[in-house]
Amino acid sequence: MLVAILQGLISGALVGGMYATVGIGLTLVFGVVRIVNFAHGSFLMAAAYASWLMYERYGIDPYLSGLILVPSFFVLGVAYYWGLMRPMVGKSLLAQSLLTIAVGYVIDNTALGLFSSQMRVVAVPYAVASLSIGPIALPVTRLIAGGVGLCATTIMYLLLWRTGMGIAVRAAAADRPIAEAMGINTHSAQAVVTGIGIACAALGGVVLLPIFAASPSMGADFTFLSFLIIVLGGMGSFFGALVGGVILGITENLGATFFDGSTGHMLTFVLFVVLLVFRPYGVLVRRR
Amino acid sequence: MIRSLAGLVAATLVFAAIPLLTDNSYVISILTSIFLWAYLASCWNIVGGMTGQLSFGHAVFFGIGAYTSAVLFVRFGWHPLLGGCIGVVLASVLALTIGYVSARYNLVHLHFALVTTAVGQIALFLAMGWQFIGGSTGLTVPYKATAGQLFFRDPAIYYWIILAMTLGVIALTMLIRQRRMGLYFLCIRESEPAAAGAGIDIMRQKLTAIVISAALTAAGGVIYAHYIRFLDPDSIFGWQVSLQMVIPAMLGGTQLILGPVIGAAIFVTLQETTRTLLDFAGAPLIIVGLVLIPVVLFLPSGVVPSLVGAWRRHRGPIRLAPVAQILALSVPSRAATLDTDILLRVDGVGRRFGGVQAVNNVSFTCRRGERLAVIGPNGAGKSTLFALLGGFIVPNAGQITFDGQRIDGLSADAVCRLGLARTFQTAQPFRELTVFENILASAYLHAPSHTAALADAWAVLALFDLSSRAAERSADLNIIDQKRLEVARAWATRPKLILLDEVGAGLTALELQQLVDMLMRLNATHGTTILFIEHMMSMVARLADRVIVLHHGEVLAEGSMAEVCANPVVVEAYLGESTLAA
Amino acid sequence: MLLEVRDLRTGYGAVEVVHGISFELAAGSMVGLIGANGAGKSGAMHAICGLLRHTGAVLLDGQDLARMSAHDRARAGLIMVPEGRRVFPGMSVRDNLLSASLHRRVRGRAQQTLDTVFHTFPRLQERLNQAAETLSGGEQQMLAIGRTMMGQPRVMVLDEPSLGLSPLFVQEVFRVIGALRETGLTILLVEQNVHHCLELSDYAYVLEQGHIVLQGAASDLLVDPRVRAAYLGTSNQPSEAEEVRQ
Repeated sequence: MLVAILQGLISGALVGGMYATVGIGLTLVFGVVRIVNFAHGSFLMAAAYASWLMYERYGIDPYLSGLILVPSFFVLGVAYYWGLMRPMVGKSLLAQSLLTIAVGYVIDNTALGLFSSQMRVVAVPYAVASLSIGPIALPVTRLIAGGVGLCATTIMYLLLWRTGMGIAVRAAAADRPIAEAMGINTHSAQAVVTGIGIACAALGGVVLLPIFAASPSMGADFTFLSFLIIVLGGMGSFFGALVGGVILGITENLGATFFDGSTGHMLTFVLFVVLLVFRPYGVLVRRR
Repeated sequence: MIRSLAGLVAATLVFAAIPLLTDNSYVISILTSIFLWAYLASCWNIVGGMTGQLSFGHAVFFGIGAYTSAVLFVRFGWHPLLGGCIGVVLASVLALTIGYVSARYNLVHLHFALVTTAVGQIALFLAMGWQFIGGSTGLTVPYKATAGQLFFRDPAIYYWIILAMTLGVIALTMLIRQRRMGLYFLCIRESEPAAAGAGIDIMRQKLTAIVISAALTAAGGVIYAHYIRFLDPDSIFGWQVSLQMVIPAMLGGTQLILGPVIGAAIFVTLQETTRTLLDFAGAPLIIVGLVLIPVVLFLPSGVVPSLVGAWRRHRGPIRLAPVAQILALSVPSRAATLDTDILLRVDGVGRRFGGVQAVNNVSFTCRRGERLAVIGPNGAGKSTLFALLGGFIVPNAGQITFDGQRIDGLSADAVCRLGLARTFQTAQPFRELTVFENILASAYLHAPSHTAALADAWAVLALFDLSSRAAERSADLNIIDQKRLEVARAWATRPKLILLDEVGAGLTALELQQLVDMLMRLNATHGTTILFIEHMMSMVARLADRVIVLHHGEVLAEGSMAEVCANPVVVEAYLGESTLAA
Repeated sequence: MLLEVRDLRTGYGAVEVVHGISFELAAGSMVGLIGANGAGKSGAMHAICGLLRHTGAVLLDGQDLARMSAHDRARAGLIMVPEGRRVFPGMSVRDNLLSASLHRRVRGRAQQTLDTVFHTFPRLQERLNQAAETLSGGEQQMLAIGRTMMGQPRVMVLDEPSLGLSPLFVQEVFRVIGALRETGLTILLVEQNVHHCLELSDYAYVLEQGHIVLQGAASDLLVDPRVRAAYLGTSNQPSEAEEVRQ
């Protein structure tokens, strides 16, 4: 029993590290551009399918395909900002939401049409391999997910808190007109952040593919998952999303051990409502 | 109203005749689908479009209606309509809960959208897990040869039912829109502070809107369950279903009563055409997405309003009232004499924000019929003082007595109902509403009937020289008219005391003169007490009986204009402490 | 002239608040712009810095900035110290300072400028890693000025630097402004506090309801009764104003 809990904890935390990366992607875009990207999970799904396709057609290892996919999705994210999100800045919430929802529609249904609703698995040889530490067996894919998640969040942390670009991004998030008046090109900063956000989603898709599988419904699932993460941590907060992702990974994993899947899912949404009501702005986000 | 209703009935008759002309079941099913989504989107629009609360979880109400009726029928053989009524009640109760919690904890905009989304997901997982109602495999509603069923062999009957329901919800929306309730909904969408300032109980209106919307949506679910006869959680409670109520409203235009109907026609036709033309699983929704993106980007108010172009809203019965009616108008004439009776007493009031003491131990009184000015340099705490008086913020210390009653701690709308109205420093008209509607919203507060409110509003328009602008969108007004509207709106609540926050700012000397003359007239003929913040000293000099100077949140001086201007402390507060003798 | 503003008109939405004003600053000079609340001072400052749409010309050393975005104007050297400080609250003092020195023209010399800022405001160095929101109002004002210094402005636009500060800090802020002026910095000072403003400035303009109604050498304006009238609004009743003065 204890071993099962420990196993669930560690393995959940490992996936949670990757969830955190995905959640940070969404929260960064929201924090800086102030538009909720309902298509976040759809980008993740698109990357997962792309990775699967590269494996199926050309036998490229899913992790290797990430090296191509993540930068391409960064570019895609920058284009997404300039083409679709920037015109929506300052528009009504309904319009902003429906725009990103429409983008999600297009991506999700294209995947449905191209790949059908069948689950697509990458049959890499190491998918079933695991590392045993005493009685605890940790699947290699999860270890990799945890490691990559840790690296990605560290890199983003350094980028945001240790570089000039990070200062520009945070200043633009805090007070856009004043950031402009200090010589910061806030539109470029927002575009870069959107690129990073989408790249995070893509990284999530690539790294989680060997653990789960690609399916068209993955888009909506991960959009909701990302929302849960950022509401857990406070909307717009980097560290909140980090903690939220790990918590969610663990609860999901433990929940699956003790409840059936749909009860576990439902409970997370109940938690979501409770948090929204009682801690609507989380710990860190500042409202001017 | 009568004419548009007649048009609506005529259009309905034309659509109702279609099944008599063709027995092509495909055409009927498409039309049924169009009107079903038109109905649901119209229901959604009552809360999403009119009050501006974005619900992304309306599928819950739809599903509760559908499942309650179907399950009670399948498991216990209850009549579908009886079950339907129970479903409608359940949906209303849930809506009331969601509405209350959201209003109580101030979950607006994005947070409301996320909460409703999450409630939708919870319902979805509950339905999937609950085997009694079919679980994730779904529930088939079988044909039972009993008297208590809702099964028609002819699909045209369902079509007619749904058509009639659509007609019903449109008529209801039109009715709401013409009356006080609808105007209040729109005011809340445009600006919650201004709505509270007009004496509107925001929580109550929001709850009314969401309950009406949820009950109607649930009723739609009841019919749908017996029309489609198979319920599965994904196609009833799924997020997709909620969005399918939002998208038609957005496509057609949320501000138009018929917008959701036209949007639904576009939405369903688009999907059906794609389905027939393209053999690609996700094609219909891809096309919907691809159409939605440019619509949102380039036609943000929806296809219909944007295409009509110079679309003039002909809302509200804007016809000039007969002159006689204006003259015989019921604005009570108040004592014009300057009596010494105290109307407002402010006693040691203080308010602190974080480390800043914005208002500190302020005490003063204001007599009935007095014109009292509050002046002071930027950041002196004047606007905070007004927010305290108007019930927009609660003082940390002291008490405020108005007309013999403690008002500190009362909400803004309650304060307004007691007869203390305010204007906002930056004019906050209900931008998308006409000038007339802006005033009407306030006039409803004390008017005994709809007709009386209309007459009152016309009278106020005339009083403020705004009659010729009545039908204009208030956002399009020039600055002097916006200021007039701001005062007129406050005036229309028939206040005993009116708080004017920098109404003179930005006006030319001539405009200022007009404004002062008007205020003097109101004060003289109606005895309305005027308490105003002003930086335009010429206006203060002309209008004020007495002046209070605030500085650093405290009362620095009090007296006539000449007295305070001669007071060296005041001069220093304005011009800055000087090392040179000025 | 280092900065020349010609026929500037701007406003909020459809409402014009500045109705065509023109003024100029010589290099190394300090010019005051005074006027009562609501006269349009802030609107004018936001417009010349590119934060509000406007018409008219804004010439910095002969180059017209009117069509440039706000960040390009700041990069060209026209940088404001915003009204109400507007420091980036959650960011550290260091990051706040560095935020203005990210662009190419000044990036290389950021360290030297930082030293200059610390020399002017030793207190900021002590609080380098503290979040800006934890500073007192006066310290935040110093940070806001220091941040603008980091962008190495050719013209510094100071918008109401004394607003909301306690009298002690007001003295301190004006002392600093005086010191900056001594270093040869060109300053446009917008201020309600007329005496301080006029004592420090070389030349000043009086703004009333979006128009420049008066201009002249600051020392002349300091004793001009019309300045006082512009503030206390007695210009329409000259006789009464005379009475009040006696």
